[in-house]
Amino acid sequence: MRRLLLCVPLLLSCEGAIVGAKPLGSAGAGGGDGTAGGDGAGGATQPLGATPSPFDCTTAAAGPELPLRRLSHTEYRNTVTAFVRAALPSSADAALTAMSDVLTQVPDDSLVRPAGEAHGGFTRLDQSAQQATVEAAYGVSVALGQQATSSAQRLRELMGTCATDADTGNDAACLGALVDRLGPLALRRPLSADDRAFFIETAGTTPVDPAAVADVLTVMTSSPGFLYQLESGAAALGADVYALDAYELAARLSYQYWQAPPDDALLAAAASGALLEADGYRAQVTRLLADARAQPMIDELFRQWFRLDELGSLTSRVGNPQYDAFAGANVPTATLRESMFQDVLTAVRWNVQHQGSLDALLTDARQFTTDPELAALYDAPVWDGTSEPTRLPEARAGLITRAAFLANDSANTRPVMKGVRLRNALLCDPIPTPPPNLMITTPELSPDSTTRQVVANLTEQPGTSCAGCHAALLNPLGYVTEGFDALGRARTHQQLFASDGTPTAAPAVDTTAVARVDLTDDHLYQGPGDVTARLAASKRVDSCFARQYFRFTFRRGEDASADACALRAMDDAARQGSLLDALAAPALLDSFKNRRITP
Amino acid sequence: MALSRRQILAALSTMPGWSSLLSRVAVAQSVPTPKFYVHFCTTHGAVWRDNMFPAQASPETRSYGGRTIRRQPLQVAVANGRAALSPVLSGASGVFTQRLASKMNVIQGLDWPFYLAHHTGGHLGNIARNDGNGGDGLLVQAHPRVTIDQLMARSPEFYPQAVRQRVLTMGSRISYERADQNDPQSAIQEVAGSRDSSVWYDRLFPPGTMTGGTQRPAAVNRVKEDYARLLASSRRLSGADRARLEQHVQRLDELKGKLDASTATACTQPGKPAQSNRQQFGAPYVGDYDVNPGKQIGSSQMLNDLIVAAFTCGLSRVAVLASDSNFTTFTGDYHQSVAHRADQLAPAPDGADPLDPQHVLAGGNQQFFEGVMLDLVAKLDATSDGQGGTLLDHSLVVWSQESGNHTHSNFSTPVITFGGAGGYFSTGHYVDYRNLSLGTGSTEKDYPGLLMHQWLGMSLRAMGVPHAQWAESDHGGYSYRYAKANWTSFTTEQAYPDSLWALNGDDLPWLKR
Repeated sequence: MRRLLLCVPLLLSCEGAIVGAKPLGSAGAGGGDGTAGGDGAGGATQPLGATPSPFDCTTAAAGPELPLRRLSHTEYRNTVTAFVRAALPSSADAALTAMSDVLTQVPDDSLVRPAGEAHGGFTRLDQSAQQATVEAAYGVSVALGQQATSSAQRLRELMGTCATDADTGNDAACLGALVDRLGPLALRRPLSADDRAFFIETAGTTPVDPAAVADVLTVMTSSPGFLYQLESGAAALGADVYALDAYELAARLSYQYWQAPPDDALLAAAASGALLEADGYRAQVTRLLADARAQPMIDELFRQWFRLDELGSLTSRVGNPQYDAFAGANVPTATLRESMFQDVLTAVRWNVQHQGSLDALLTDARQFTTDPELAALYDAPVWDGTSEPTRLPEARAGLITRAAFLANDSANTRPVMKGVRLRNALLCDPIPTPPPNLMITTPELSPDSTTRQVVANLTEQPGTSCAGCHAALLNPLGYVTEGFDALGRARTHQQLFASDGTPTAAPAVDTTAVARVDLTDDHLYQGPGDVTARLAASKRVDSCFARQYFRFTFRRGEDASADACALRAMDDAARQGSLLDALAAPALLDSFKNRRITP
Repeated sequence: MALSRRQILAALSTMPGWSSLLSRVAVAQSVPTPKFYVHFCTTHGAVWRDNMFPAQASPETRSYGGRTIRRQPLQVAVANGRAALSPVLSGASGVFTQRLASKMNVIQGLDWPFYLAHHTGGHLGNIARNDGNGGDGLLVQAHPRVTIDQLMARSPEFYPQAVRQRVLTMGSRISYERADQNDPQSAIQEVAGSRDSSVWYDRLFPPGTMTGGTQRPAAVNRVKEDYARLLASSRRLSGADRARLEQHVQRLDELKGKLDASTATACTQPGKPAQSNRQQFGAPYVGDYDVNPGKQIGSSQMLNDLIVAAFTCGLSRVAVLASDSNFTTFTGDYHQSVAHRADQLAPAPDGADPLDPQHVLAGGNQQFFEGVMLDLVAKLDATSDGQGGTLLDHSLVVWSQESGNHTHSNFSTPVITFGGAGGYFSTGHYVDYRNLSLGTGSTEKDYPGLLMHQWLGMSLRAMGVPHAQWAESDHGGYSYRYAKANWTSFTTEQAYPDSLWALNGDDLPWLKR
């Protein structure tokens, strides 16, 4: 019964729509802005305009706050690396290499979904601080201290000649200078007198003894200010809400965009107060995003939002006669999977760097792969990585026709899973809970029917419990890209093979579908170009991006009410501006610059 | 219960793979007398009854829980160098001996009383870790539990002294703990796992960080003071911030205990193998690992060797493992084309395997049993306790599958055990707790059994974890109480009446020594 409650509302709207499906551009299809392009084969004009933002910002409120953010795995490693480079300018690489085993001990972050979500998620949401996390971090700190003091040469590099000369009278000053130099880097703020004294006292009575200095570094890099984003705020703004101080803000910015501690320029802006001025703050946001160090964050955001890693191994079926016959001259190698990911991420990078918008990314059909293997699948020349990329062959309509959105680890396409990804990841529409006893099976390659026909037969039989969700919500969004096979190659017909690899038939594929980009949209889409255009024009992907990026930024699920204004602002930025604007948007929110601190 | 150096060296020398590591383990220390727990969690299940369990032949019967239950002794059949209890429970006769079978139990008829598909948490009691398929799975997601391995790990009775690693968590999404060990209301979080032997080697035998050797007090004391300094300061912190800092201090306390304990451990650090299991054999998605059972077994056996080394050196007494592979050469989509088609007789449509999915499934499970589980228990059984017994006798080694004899079936999840847990278990039994007067389905019928909660509670008692540390408010076993309203062929009142839940505090019939 619970399942029915979830499915019925969707089912009712879908069944009515299927009966009344209208081709795009037909009379009575409604108004629209007419800005979207046609399908990949030169299809119809989109009649619909943008859907309203789902975020209703009626009363601004401070959302819930994450308690004491733990640095992510990547942030922690970057922070350790930055510290070692500052401590040992000449031998940092050797020291880090020697520390590689202990760094490997730091647990990876898990992909965590916000409460109520059954798919997707971000590793940044993993805020668990486990025994293994604490022990590994301690092990790293100990190793760091040992490496920094492992020889007289290292000690001199770390502290100067005062650490190894015969004069014991300068030892205390020598250690004090070290604490003054590295302490602020470890804590990401100026040292208080108490902090300074604590670190110095750690050495005990032998200030420049290697073991004593090692302990100082161990304690520094194990401190709460090193492992966590310690934010106590400055001015009170309201009940339990405080503005972050300049150094806390600098750290939030640098970890948001660089996944690393603040650099000298950011610390200088914090020290001068410029970071607390609107212009100075905006300048830093712009600088951070324009820097190459922002790229890994952008890659991580889009890689996880698009769920690229859900693609299985592309080589596991090589050797299977049916698969080999399907692959033909394009038998995948072990590097193809990552090339598919990089194709998508390069498109993101290019659009970020060239002021492209999210809509531009969606509709961008240019060739971004430098891998000949993937280029061959695209039937396109290899890109040199620098010059203006050329357009992919006409069948490609944009993001959803890139190989990473099409491929799977079999000889058969998976329209249902393609539909699930577009519906849930790109549009943020919830997927109803599968019914009990659901036994999903991979559609078999039929000797004479297309995959679409097989899937429809399996999941869309009228009156079955499957049909409501599959026929209306899931399958059609997958059908529109059936003009591409399971390696992402364009096709007009689906070549079918027997299990021994013998060709059996090649029926024509059908890419038309009532794809319901909007849940109430009953238009008959002609193919991926049509759907891509509607995805862009509807702005629903922008709203979904805002939701996903909010989670990524604030490392928690959104509160539909308290976070509505923040989400609306991020949605507006995505809808109206460039990708850079969209990426900058959360940093401009009050909720990014403030923190709720409830005693 | 001290082992002689000669005894243990003799035992360790029988272990393949890590002989270079193990031969250098100095074992002058006493083997710990307490109990050891290992749990292998494998995905899917769906192995048909006749493939998984021994054939029933004139079993002893008795009445229990409103049904007639059955028991018969385990007797391996030997032919052509192979010993078998069933097609899956089989192995080389030189390893899978009747002696080993006599230390084994095969349990049929333990149920989760609701639809539970795609779970990884149920093996150890946290049924909330499921994919939410079906309303039942979604509902129980709101009721997480600390898993039994973590209950053991945090029990002062189980670990009266600090230990290097409370649990060797070798896999993901199986082990769950409280974020704050001092707050029974704090969130339940996953314990991150790893199947990288190098990671575990370094955790068990840390490179220079935990072996003492310095005259200075360990820096961890000073680190703790740093956190205490912050907590005592006037710096503005939220209540949640403070709780998180205090949790960190708890972790530091745990670490300090390990550092202190390490100096008292007489086990000399063995050399680190040049290559980890992943470097030697690969990992999921790397090379042909996914379709090469030999590599999967080789990788798993290196983890087994580490478990034995950790147990014999007194560095841990609990290991839980999630398999990362299916132990078959099947090249297609194993989950959908094999597991989801487990009841079909035709070969899977993808993959080159001419066998039907059930044969593929059963074959993979047999490979796991022989290559991984038998490997470990044979190694534990080859380690003398110095009193005529072996390390296996002090252990409870469990293998549970995700589902029963059908994919996604909550009925009759196979539970295979080795070891007597220090005399707690009576062994050598094949028990069948199913209620054969109630059945559902057609070809491979499902019958309701006893409750998995009862088994989990018995496991905790067997390992000496006091009931007060894991008591449920509404039944005597362990894990959240929930039952599906009704089934196709019987009602919940028929299958899982209150009188059955009332038995959850009992040890399972025939299994208590």
